[in-house]
Formats: sequence, C-alpha cells, structure tokens
Amino acid sequence: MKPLSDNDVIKNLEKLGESFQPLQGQKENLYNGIFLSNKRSEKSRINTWIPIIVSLVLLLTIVAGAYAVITNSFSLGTGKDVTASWNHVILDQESSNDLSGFYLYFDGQSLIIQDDTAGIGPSVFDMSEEEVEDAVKEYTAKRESLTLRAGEFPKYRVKKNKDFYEITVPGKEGFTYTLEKIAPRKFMGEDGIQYSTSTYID
Amino acid sequence: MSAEQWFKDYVESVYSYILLLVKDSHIAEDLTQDTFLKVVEKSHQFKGDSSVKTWIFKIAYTTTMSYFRKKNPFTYYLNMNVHLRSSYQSSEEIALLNAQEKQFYEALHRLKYSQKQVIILRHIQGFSTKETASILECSEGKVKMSLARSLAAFKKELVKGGVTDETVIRQ
Repeated sequence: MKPLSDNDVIKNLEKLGESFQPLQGQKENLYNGIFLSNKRSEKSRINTWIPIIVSLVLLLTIVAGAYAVITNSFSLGTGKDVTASWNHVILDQESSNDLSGFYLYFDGQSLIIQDDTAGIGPSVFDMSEEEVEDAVKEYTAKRESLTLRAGEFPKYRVKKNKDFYEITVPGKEGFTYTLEKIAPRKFMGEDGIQYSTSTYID
Repeated sequence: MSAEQWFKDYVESVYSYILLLVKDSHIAEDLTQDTFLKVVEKSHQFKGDSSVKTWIFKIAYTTTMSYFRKKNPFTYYLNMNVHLRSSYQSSEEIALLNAQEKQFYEALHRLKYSQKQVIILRHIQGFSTKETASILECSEGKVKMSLARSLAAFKKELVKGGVTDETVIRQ
C-alpha cells in the first residue's frame, strides 16, 4: 500500500481551516465586546494549583544526592572531545518508563531535546480536581529529578573516554549528562534510560 | 493601520486557530476577544519586527496557553492528550465537515498539543517556518524538526482512522 504523500496531507490540512471560521453574528459580538464595550466577558475562575514548595525541597534533595553519586563515580575529566563527530546524531529513547520519552538531536549548533510523554503517566479518569493536583505534584517532582529536559541547548560539547560519553551544556540552564555505549548503536544514560541511534558514532 | 483594521483582517484566522485547539466555539470566542483586547491594549508596542499577523498570533498563542494552564494543569505540564471529564467537543462545527474533513480533524486531535500547534500554524494558518518559530518562541531548526515528526505522527493517525493513499480525496 502506497503511503500517504505529504502533499496530499498538506493540501487537505490547508482546506480544513476554512471550516472553522466565525459566523457573521459571532464577529459582530466580538467587535462589540472589544471596541464598543468596556466590559470584558466573565470567565469562571478555575482553581489554580500552587507552585510546589514540597517538590522544590524534594528536587534539592534529589539533586544533592545525584551530584554526590556523580562526583563519586566515573568522571571524564580529560576525555577526548568528539563533539564534531556527533553532528546530526539522533538518540531516541527506547527503554520505556513512565517519566520520559526523550529524543535528542545534535545539530552542530544546539542540542535539541524533545520529550514525547504522550501516553505516559498515571490515568486521570475519575480523579477529582484535588487528586489531579496531587498526582501532578508527585509526577512533576519525579520528572524534575531527571537531568535531561525538553529544550534547545546551545554550545554543547561531547567528550569521550573509552565507552563513556559526557555531554556538557554550559550556562545557567546547563547540565552534564553521561552516556555509556553498551552496543554499537545503543547507549545507556546515567539515569538508566536506554537510547538507540541509526548511525555509528565515534 | 488601526487595531480595528487588524481585527477585521485577522479575526477569522485567530478564531479558527483557537477553535481548532480548544474545540469549543464559546471558549474560542472568549479567547479571541481576550486576544484582541490585548492587541488593542498593546498596539503601541508593535514595532514592526514581524508581520502584524505573526504578532497577533503570538498573543493568541500565549492567551490560549494560559487558558490551558489554568483549565488542565496536568495535560498542560505533561503535554499529553488526556481527555478529562470536562473536555469539550465542538459538535456544530464537526457536523458541517464532510467525511474526509472529519477524519483529518479527528486525526489532528489525537496528536499531542505541541504537534497540533506546529501543524496548525504551518499548514492550516500558512505561516512560514520563521514566523512559526517566532510565534512559538523557539528556533527554526526546532520547528522544522517538530514539523517533520508531527506530520509523520499525523499520517499514522490518518491511516489508523482509515485514510489511505487509495481513499484520500485530493484537493
């Protein structure tokens, strides 16, 4: 079966937006509400959940513990700089956990990390708002304990020592993350997450 | 050009963008109104660094994100597509779609929020990669990468929904 072409998909998408235009009456209401009235429409207040002091304390504890483990364990120090050979490398998380779905792309200028968390996490069906709040706090605290997070990180460096690779990102948002090559195209992160890549890397 | 003219030029695009994300016409109206109230308030701040439409859509994007952050804190922070009891379906708009449009609409809504965003901005609203990056406040490289992955995910959802190369009606 031939796969759907991007062109067919895109053309249909372009047309889809036309079906969701406002009616004339809606446009008039909007105009009146913005330009002829000082009243703003009332919005129902939804309880916002408070920034997590508990998870911050937990985060500090976990970070302190992780730092102690990392500094006591293997350090690459004078490892060989192999940053150039990691250009255009993609590391795809292949181990499943309920916290992350990392996808790392080294594009030469920046390390781009995406986190596909779709389908991961506790089910929230039939949870009350308070239960959802607690579940989010707990889940967020666990995710905060991970070194990697989604974002774009410039000026990364990769150093190699035997089968260990240390990715360093400088700056306030920076971090250091160590990978061990466990197979020609498989790596294990310091947090136990396994990645695969389609290319053979130095 | 005045904020009133901007409203006339872009209210349809902004409303359709927001409606595709929130799936409820009443909420889409509220958020469109909020967006243009901010446009009126901040019109003096527009310096021409981008097109007017891009600038207005940046406001629409942040307004919608604030709504999701307050409404569904769990899904907002996890970028999941979890359907809580309070989620909506815009049945009037869906009823007017033809069969293939419905399949595309449903496939779009099975994607993650960030994937929907980049597809809606690039291919439904017609923004360039650079404009999309400006609206989403990320790099063009990230938009290109996200878009490639989002389209792949979208095609998978279309196939799951029964759309194939043989059955797709070409525009």
